[in-house]
Amino acid sequence: MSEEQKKFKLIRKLDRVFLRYDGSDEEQPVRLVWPRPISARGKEVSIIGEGKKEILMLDSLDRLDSESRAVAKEELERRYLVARITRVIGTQVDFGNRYWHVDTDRGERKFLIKEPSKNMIWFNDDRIILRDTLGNHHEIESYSSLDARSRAEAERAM
Amino acid sequence: MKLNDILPKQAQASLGKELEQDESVLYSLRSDLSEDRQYGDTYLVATARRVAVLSEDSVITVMPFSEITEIKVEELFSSSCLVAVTEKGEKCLIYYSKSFVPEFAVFSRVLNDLRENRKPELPDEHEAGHCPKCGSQLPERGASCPRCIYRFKTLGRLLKLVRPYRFKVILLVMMTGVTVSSELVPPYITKELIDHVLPHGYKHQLFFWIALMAGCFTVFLGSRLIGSSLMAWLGARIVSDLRAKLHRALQQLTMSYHDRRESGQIISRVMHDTAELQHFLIDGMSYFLVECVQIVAISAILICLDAKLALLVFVPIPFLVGGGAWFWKKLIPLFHKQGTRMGALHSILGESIKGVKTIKAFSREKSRESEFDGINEQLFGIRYGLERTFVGFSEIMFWIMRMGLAAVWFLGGIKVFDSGELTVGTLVAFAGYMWLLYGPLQWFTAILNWMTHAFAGAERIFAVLDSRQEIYDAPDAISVPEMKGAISFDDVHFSYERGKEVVKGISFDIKQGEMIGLVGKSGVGKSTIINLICRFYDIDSGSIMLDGHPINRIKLEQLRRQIGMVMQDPFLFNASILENIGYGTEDAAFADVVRAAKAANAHDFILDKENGYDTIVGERGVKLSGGEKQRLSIARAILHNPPILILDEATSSVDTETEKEIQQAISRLIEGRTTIGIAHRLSTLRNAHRLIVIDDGKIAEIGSHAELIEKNGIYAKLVSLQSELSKVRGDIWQE
Ligand SMILES: Nc1ncnc2c1ncn2[C@@H]1O[C@H](COP(=O)(O)OP(=O)(O)OP(=O)(O)O)[C@@H](O)[C@H]1O
Ligand SMILES: [Mg+2]
Repeated sequence: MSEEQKKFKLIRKLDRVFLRYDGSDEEQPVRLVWPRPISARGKEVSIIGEGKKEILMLDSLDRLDSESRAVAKEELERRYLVARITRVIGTQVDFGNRYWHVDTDRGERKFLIKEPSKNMIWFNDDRIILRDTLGNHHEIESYSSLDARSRAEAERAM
Repeated sequence: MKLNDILPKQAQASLGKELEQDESVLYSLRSDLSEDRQYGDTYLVATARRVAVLSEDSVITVMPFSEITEIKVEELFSSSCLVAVTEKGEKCLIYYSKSFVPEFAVFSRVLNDLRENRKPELPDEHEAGHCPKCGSQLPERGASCPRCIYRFKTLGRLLKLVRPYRFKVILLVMMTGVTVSSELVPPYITKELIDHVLPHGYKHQLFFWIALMAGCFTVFLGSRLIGSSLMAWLGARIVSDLRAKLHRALQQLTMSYHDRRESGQIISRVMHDTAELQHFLIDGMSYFLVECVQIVAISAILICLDAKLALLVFVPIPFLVGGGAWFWKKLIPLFHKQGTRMGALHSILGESIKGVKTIKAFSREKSRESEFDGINEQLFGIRYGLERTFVGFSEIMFWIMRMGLAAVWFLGGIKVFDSGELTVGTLVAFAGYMWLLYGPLQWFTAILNWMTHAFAGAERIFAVLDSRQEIYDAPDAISVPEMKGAISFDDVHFSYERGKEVVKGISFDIKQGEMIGLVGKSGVGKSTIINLICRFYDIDSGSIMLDGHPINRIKLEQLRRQIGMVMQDPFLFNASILENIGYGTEDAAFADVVRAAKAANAHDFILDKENGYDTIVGERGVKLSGGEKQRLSIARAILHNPPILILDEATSSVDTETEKEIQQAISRLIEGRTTIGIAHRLSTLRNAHRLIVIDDGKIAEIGSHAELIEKNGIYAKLVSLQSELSKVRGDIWQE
């Protein structure tokens, strides 16, 4: 039987996820990652085992049993910190430095973006990923659904 | 660097209850993520015995070091966490965003030191991600804060650059005075002519005033010519000086500075920012200087001529200045947009040219075209918008000025009719002065903006000049002109980016004259170890010694002169083969170059070229094959004749037969020299006395070929894999 077809469970022990094949008591530590964290977070999931070798890639978490799915969801939520911007409080442009002050689902935050052509990544003309100068990511899930003031502020810094 | 962030009172109080009498907080650091990864402050604290995590007001975790087997950093997406490995499993102590990666990397090392009863050492430097003054995020770690920069300081530094040419500056200021005065006299002459000379027919006076007028025009011409050529000279001079300084600084900046930036960015700083500054210094500055003096002088004259009418003249000024300011506010985002689009266009163009082969190979010309056209069209839109706004603005400004003029003629005319307290001549002079006054005013804000722009460029230039440079001649550096070539590593840790360790505690001794093979999978850190020996980067902790001297104490130039390198991706300059081989050994005789080329097995292919040793190799050596480039760089290292020789994949691009010949040359060459060879084709390293097998930044095995085969570990596995492979390929694996 190939790796793809073998049934397995994901188990959490403290802050680490382990994989156990059905019918075996061997547990191996694994990491769960989104292969496309920016362009398609939420699509495929890779399970990576020891030696940084991928064990398998899932098209979606639906293939997992409900307990494993819950473990996987929690783990991915833990690993990927992308704050969703709910409101743009203010922006300021100062010689190519774009200062943002926003409200997110994780609280208020100030950050700085440079080179917007590289660090403001648009998808479908509506979703935007903002990468600040220190490597933190923020997301505007739907630009058109932001309130008018937020959009006006954001527009200034684009 | 310090790890002593201040703890909130409540948190401190509740921690106090947990601590024992003789226990105190040694280190503390704030994180910007709470336990549930919301934005909020959390604190990591270390005492001599325990590590604790605190929220704003309470203790979240306390863990004694005795329970912990290791503290490590787990890299997550857009955040990281510090993990305590315990008997029971792995526990996340604290999460933090990417803003605090270097700080927590240091903290994790400190915790491991405390855990193992070592005295922690904090690095001297710390490149903060946020401005310590205003808290704003910085454009890059360790940069100065653009929001807190004191603009006058930049002006001061620019003035310092002018100091050697101060006599020219004084002359320039004098010329400016002359220019302004000679411009202000003619309207007054008009007044005299109209009021006194023409009505009374004083012919001899006419000659006098006209001669004076012509004189003024001539003086104006002369002073303008001298003044502007002085200004041009000064501007060009300062910028050339600055550019030379920049180039020198760029050569001496650390490798990590260059790693972090794209070459385009740096080139733009050297060329574009300096050009902008030059443009401003030459055109803007002289304009600004003349206009400032002129505005003050004219205002004074107008008030003297007729105070009431002067007030009328001043009425449109707020509109002119305010309109200018409003207009610039509208234009600046457009300028920014134009800048970004232009940059994007540049990089597409650059890629289209450099990557032309790949583009053709994948038949992507069409899509490149549409990508380019898309941005090009956007640029067209912005450009058009800019020009339109610009023209609209100046026409409206002219209209305001003309309206002002009309108003002055109207009220002035009435004054002339009514009371005769105003003469016709004064009115005409008034109108003339007015025009001189309004002209510069509308551009005043533009110039101010221009100035801020040029200054921003200057600040970026100064930022490069102020970045950390390699110190070539530290006062306490040891001079080691003749090295023997013993190398030793002692528990060396290194990371390109703080927090991501690439070398994780490596120790070894290489004896003088020994040949060492570095073996390991791709990306384990072999080239990195070489980089450290050359001190392209400074290590995080541990020590590297050459002939018993710590390498960070040896004079840098001497250190690098003693090391001959054949790099993995040899860089050739766009010059002749002769010059490329002789690079770094400029005084070499041709016979020596030939000997080196022969040893590197390059001589024959060089002679086969039409221009022989005078063949120009093209940009980065594009006109040569991969193997030819490698052989030239081997010849370069051979000619250099250093006590330490480093061959990083030196023969990876040549066929087995050529390799064998080069091998023979190298084996002659390495006699008496310390040599470090890196090769994926293990047969290349068969001359090595010892092999060091690297795995995941650590030494996995060390020993001779025979010893390691016997050990039957990683190396043995690699060898058997490769011999299987070469059996398949039919290569000659061993003689
Ligand atoms: N300048 C750099 N900045 C950041 N990371 C780097 C830099 N250079 C190398 N690395 C990373 O450091 C690790 C070790 O790289 P290194 O070049 O030392 O590998 P290597 O063992 O020489 O591999 P190879 O056999 O492929 O040449 C790699 O993961 C690489 O991505
Ligand atoms: Mg390498």
